[in-house]
Amino acid sequence: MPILPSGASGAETIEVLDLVKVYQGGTRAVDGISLTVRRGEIFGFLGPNGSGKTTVTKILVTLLKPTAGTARITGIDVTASPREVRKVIGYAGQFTGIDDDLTAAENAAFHGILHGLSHAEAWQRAPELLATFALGDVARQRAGRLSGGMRRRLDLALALVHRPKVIFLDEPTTGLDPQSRAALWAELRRLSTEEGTTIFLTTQYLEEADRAADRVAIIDGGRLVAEGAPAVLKDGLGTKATLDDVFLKHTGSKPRSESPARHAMSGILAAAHGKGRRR
Amino acid sequence: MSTVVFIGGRNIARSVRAPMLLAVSLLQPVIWLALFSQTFGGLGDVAQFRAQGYQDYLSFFTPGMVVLSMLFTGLQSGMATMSDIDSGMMDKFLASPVRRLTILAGRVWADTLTMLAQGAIILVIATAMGARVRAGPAGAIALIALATAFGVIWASLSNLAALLTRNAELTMALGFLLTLPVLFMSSAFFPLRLQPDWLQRVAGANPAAYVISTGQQLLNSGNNTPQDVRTIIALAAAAVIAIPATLLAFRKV
Repeated sequence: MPILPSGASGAETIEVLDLVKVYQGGTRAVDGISLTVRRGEIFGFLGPNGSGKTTVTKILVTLLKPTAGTARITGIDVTASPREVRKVIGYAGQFTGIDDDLTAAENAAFHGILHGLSHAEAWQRAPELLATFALGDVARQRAGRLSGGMRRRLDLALALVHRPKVIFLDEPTTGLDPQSRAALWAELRRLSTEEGTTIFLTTQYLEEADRAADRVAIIDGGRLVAEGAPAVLKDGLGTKATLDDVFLKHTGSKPRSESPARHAMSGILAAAHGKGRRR
Repeated sequence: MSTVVFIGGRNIARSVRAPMLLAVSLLQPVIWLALFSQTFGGLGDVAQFRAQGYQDYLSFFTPGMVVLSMLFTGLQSGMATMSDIDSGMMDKFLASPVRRLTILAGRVWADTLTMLAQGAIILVIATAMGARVRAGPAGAIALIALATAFGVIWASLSNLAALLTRNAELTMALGFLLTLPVLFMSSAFFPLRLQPDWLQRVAGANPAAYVISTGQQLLNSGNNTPQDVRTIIALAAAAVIAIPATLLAFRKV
């Protein structure tokens, strides 16, 4: 039995200990990371491009195997029992993993069945979930005909269709307009507080993480450089300090600007890239 | 089992909802049937050709066209896998509790149904154009079944190329690079015994050549059990190599 990271109390949903990932060719993407996330927590995983955020996330959702170290989700080892881990998680990656030839409702039901729902449950769950993400009106439209923002919302909805205990979201707000982002955060907060769902998300938008995450960790060069509640991390950096200042202090680089124009442009580009990768 | 059928249903729905793709897949062999039977139809009157036991060029050429349609469908299978990888859909599959074998079996199931339908449609069209199946309905079913088995093996190789290269263009290029040689190193267009010795020897290692020869036997002279057995052995040997290699590659995704 691996020793838990310091501060672990046993109520953790995500436990990571000395995680290392070295890719073929020798790139050390993750270099000895340890962290814990408690049940019902919204945990923001922050870092500059190429810092190792997505690699850690992919290890936790069993898409990659670690080179060394251990990771457990609800007490289940991701390497030893990946299939058991997959039963309790939901995942939305950086690119929208939806089927353009199926309708929005079919996509939702399809993912529900993949995650073990019966056909009746999946088809009952699909419309209510689409309504939550303001996609009720386009439920019967093919996903390929939806706008970039709608596709992103649909992708996020798919991660929740089977009511997972832990949700992993990689850059979830990229490509969303302000209203959709607000709706997503409201839904994530509701899941966290009412259903005790644990949410692990990566983002480069620090103001969002500052407002919405219970705790954050900052990764740089594959190493964890800071971890704690946003207020605690900002402590000692001045009364007007933001998470940007924390980020700058620990990584030496500025995070992506939260300016609406830049965020909107990055969203458009991400959505276009996501569609472009489809075929 | 129901998940396999469900995943396969998704793949079939995608094909059905892309009618242009479906139409092109079916139209191509029909165009080839029409063109080749017109261009080389005179071969049916040549004594050397008839001495091989063939009745007419259309009946001789039809099994090759059935196999050609399987080759293209198999190629599309690898491209569909590549599309799932590119779109992020494969990550969604792999992060779900569904077994990897089930994901692959779903695709094989969809490919099998598509190939069975394609084989039947081409045989119906060829028959309407004047081809005859001397071995009767059982012979037609046997040809479709053997060609589909070959198509599934080809689809598995196409998926293997997609999984190893992770590159749609390269997967397609490899597929096209091999498709015509596979057809030409057989009796698809010209009787094998009238081809150079070295081509006959190469055809001996080509499972498609066995399927096409058996199909030609079934259409032109009737059933030949030793020939059927040789074809089944060739397909089994190819399957033993191709399918485990693809499964192994899929486990490493």
